[in-house]
Amino acid sequence: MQLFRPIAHCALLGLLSGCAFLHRYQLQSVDGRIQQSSTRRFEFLVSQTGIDLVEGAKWVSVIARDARTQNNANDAATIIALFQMGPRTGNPVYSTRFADELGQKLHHMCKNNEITGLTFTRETNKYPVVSGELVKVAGYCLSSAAPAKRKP
Amino acid sequence: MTRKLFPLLLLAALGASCTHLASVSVTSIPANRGQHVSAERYKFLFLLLNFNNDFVQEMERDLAAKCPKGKVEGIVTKLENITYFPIIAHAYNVTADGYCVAR
Repeated sequence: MQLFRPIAHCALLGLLSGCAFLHRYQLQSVDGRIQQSSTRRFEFLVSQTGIDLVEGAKWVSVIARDARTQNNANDAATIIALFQMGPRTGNPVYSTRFADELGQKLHHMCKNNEITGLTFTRETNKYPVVSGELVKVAGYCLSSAAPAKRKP
Repeated sequence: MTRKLFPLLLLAALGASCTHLASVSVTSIPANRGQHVSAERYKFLFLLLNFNNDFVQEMERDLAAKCPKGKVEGIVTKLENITYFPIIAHAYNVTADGYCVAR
């Protein structure tokens, strides 16, 4: 019975780990010309490592053998949770500047042509304690040779 | 009485499905709001297990296929998180609605 609790915790964490969460999805205007073969699709992502300290402290309380360490870890988890209370998307990161370079990267993907069908996806790839906080961008670079109108 | 009521209330709470609106976005609405086009993608999650979000990829192609000679503008995108049964059965539903405007 004593072993059951940590095993159940580990099994649950194992089941919930390594999962991809979709937080936001946004699609910009779409030009019908994206179906033409001359149109190039591009995709890139920017990311930052997220850290769930509350989960880390809970792991410590599960792994620790003596009751005092377990209690201390649980207290630490509670205090961290209180400080991180409120609405948020994904795990906390130490800097959100990773998303600042999006505009520049978009410019490099399609330097002189029109971009259409832009999609922005905010995702989290969750692992035990850490996570990948991602912003995925995909779109289509219309070729300058692509005709504005199709022949009837 | 309380012993019978509590399991019933618990069952009702667990059995009731919920939908959460995760995100919504709108692009500029065109003056010429002609043909309405829409696309939808859905993914069912068993035990919340989801290893990628590729199901939303190329949703724009669905819209473009419905408007090959124009441009889809005024797109409202909506991402819903659906809970059919806590932990066991969940789903993502993404919808995009817009107007096909002639170029």
